[in-house]
Amino acid sequence: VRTLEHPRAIRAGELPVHGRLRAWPFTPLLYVGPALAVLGLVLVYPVLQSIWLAFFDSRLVTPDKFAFVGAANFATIGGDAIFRQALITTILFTTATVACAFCLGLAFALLVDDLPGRWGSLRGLLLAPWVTPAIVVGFLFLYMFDLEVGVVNLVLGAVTGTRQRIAWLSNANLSMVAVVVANVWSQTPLFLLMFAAALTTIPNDQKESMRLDGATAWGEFRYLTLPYLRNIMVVASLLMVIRNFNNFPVIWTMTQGGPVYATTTLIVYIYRLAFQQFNFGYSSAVGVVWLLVLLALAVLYVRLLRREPLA
Amino acid sequence: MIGRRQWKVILRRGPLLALAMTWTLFPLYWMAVTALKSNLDIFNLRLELVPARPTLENFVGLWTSSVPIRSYLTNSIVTAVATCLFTIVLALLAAYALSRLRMPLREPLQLLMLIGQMFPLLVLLIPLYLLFLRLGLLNTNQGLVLAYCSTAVPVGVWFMKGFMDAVPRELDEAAKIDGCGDLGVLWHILLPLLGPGLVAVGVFAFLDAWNNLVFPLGLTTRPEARTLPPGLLMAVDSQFRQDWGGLMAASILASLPPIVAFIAVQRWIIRGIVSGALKG
Repeated sequence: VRTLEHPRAIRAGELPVHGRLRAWPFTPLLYVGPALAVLGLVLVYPVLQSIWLAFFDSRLVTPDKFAFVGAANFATIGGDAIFRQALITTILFTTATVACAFCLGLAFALLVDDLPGRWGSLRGLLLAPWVTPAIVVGFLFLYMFDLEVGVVNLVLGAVTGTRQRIAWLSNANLSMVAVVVANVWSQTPLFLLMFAAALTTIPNDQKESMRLDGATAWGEFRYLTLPYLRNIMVVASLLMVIRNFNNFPVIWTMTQGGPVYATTTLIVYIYRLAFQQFNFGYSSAVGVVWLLVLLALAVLYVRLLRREPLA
Repeated sequence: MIGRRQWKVILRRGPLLALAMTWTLFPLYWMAVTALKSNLDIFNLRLELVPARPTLENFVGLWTSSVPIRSYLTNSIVTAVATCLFTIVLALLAAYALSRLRMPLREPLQLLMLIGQMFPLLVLLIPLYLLFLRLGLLNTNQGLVLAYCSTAVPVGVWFMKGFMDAVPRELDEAAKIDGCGDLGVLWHILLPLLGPGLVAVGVFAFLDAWNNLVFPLGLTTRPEARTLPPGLLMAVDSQFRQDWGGLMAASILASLPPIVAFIAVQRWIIRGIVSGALKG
């Protein structure tokens, strides 16, 4: 940073040649203008409109009844048993997914770290689920967990030698298991990617000196690897919690939130309220509550990023 | 060449690596195998790991099916390519201002780009539906591209800014002394150095649009206006009911462009993801 104490101090990116243009400090905003215009239309305006709608009784089936109801929609949330269940489902779904994908991603990253020669390309193969579209992930596991022809039941049958089949997707508890397995499969690569990137930042001489000191593999992991990964672990987990709080396609493709409400997370509940029951007002109110939760998490995420520059 | 010590590394990790590979690749393998089986073989309830009588009938069936899969495919390609190009241009301009120019509102704008990536799409859906209804954008590809931009643009700006920050400022300062304006610097100095950034942002926007289920599900009502994800989802309850071979063939069709794009630009996009996700 240059600190010339002169009225026409030269700062990076600001040269006196363009002093004339700089007289109007809003010129640079023209570059942001197109992006802002689009985001204003499809991001900012919808958010504001959502907040607005949350205060109205707005149902598509009775369009003439569009009426201001104050905070009534929010009051309804308090007594809504399905909302409470969806909240619990969301937390369960997210915790299970993030915990499992985290562990698998870490294990995979350690496995492919420093693989010699061409074996390094195995890492690329392990990323394959990441580029598989969410909807395909849904179809794939819908098929694999199928009652009759699903490979999961076929393998279980072959291993146990029985002909009994498990109804994964129509059982309230098992459907959650199936959805989480699909989700873990699809999200492990992102953890792998981030952990693998962080592993490359560990200096080689530190690894060597630890090995020379006779450290065990566990010791090396505990006292060298873990400290280097700690920040990225926190940030990646938070990022994935946010993502799964928004996760819709995998669940919707596999179970549509069912059986009944067993796999209805809040985001699925918001969709069902809006596009199955056409209750736009109440759906918006639930959406606004969820928006606030995500906003808080996003702010936390940004502050973590800013505080600790990573990698 | 691989030395003895390195072979030991591979042998020691071998069993676990094999497990990791099986977990990751078996579902994809199973998808391919099923797509190559006739439904008769799929329903014979034996664990048939290699198709005994491979057939392409499921792929042929996609083209002759009663579901307008060709319209879905066209819509998917058109909207994804348009989103990709649109996002590159918008992100390039915005990232230039955020990375290089001094201006008011810079901090809140950066926050909007970062936090905008984390908004739940579904909450935007009702207002967008009502807005598009009024503007006549329901069931149009233009409408879908606009909607996709709500996530593609914030992410794109963020990535692009990361790539641009990595270009030394001395380069544009030198160009400015030679009489280059802001646009000139962007065009002559930065653009040639931003190849990987453009590719990463473009591929990301393409994938984001290609994989999007929420927006086309809510913003299209006519079958021929749908893209592949909502189109196939609807077909699961009709055409593909109990036709797993057909569904897996369609899934392969939907996965191919992302996988090809990924293989082509793996190196660059991983750098983009990592720098975008890790650096604040």
